[in-house]
Amino acid sequence: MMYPVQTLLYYPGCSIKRDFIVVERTSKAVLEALGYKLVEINNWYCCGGFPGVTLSEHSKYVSSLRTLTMAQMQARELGTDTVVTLCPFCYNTLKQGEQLRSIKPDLYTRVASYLRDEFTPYQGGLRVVHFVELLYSKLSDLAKLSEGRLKGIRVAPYYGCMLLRPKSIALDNPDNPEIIERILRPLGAEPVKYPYRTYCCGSFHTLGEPEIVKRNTSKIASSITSSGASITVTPCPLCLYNLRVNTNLRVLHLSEIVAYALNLRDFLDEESFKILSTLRGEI
Amino acid sequence: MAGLKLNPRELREYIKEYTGREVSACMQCGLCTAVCPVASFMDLHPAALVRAVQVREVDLAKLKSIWVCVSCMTCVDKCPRDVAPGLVVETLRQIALKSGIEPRTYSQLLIDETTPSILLVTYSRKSTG
Ligand code: SF4
Ligand code: SF4
Repeated sequence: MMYPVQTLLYYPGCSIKRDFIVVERTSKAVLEALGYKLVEINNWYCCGGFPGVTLSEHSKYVSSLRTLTMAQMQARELGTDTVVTLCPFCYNTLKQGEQLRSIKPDLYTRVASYLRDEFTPYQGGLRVVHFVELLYSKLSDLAKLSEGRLKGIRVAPYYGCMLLRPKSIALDNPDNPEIIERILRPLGAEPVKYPYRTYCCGSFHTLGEPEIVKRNTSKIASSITSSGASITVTPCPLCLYNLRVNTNLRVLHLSEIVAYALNLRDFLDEESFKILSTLRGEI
Repeated sequence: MAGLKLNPRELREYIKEYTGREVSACMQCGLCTAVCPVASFMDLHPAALVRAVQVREVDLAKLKSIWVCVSCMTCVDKCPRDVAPGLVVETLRQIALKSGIEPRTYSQLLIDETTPSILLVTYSRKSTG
């Protein structure tokens, strides 16, 4: 092992487990190669989607505080203070839940009182991070391990909303984010910038008003096409799904391209492996 | 569904209590509408909705914008007067849901076995609270 291993608590969420298990597989493989060990939180609960869609102010935080309560007990046993999420929706929700205690103490007290019968409610002190932030903290290792394997590949990073808004949880400048570009460069890739990289894909309207998603994804797609990128990567499973279903873009999850760059072939789907190998051959 | 009309003054107070924001501070600059990724699908775009809440009765049974908004928070972060139109929309949607107004029934949703659960969770939560 190249590095001392750092243990992290891992919160998977519904879509990663049910629909995008390849994201878990590749993200875990990448993080292990970078010296992290992921331990799944016992008894994790659905994050609830995201705080904007709930029925009341306090119901926004019940599920995230419940998960953080469980996480805190386990974190003490494991000697870690970090919870890593792979899905931007989960990141957004858990991060806002984590901040509640310091930002709105009265509301925290009320929500915590729902949990008090069972457990000691979350007391603060955990760090909720997204996969992207962990990659960003290991740029020189990414360069070393990948040996610039993605050399010459023009990649369009698509951010979506949930890692950047509201600004209280933003993991980079929401108006002009660069964090994914900075992760791609040490891998040898050439990230391209294009106007619509943080424009909402239309989100859940796929189920009820698909024309909204069609309109928004087609704006994003033409913006990407004119940027000259040969592949699009996103950290969000919902954006990934919407872009794949509605456009002709080749879209991968960020964890897949990073796993490929680090030569972790066994963890990739055949399809993604082929796409990336073909691209590499074309350069 | 019968109309659900709310008195503007009471509504503004409710919004203030709920979001901590003052709709009366809106100067109608239109920035929220300009940055909203779904404004063109709304009946009242964000700035118009805030204006409506400032000055007149709003019929929540008819208002489509509250179901179109995806809570992307772009307008919330951008508003120079801290009005946070997205949170105003959220408050109105909650009042509508609590009053029994539903945007559409489950049988109308476009679901198949490939639909990711994140879509089901967010859409159904938004339509039911
Ligand atoms: S951005 Fe703010 S001040 Fe400007 S129109 Fe919208 S709500 Fe009003
Ligand atoms: S939060 Fe709603 S109203 Fe505001 S920009 Fe996003 S979709 Fe538009």
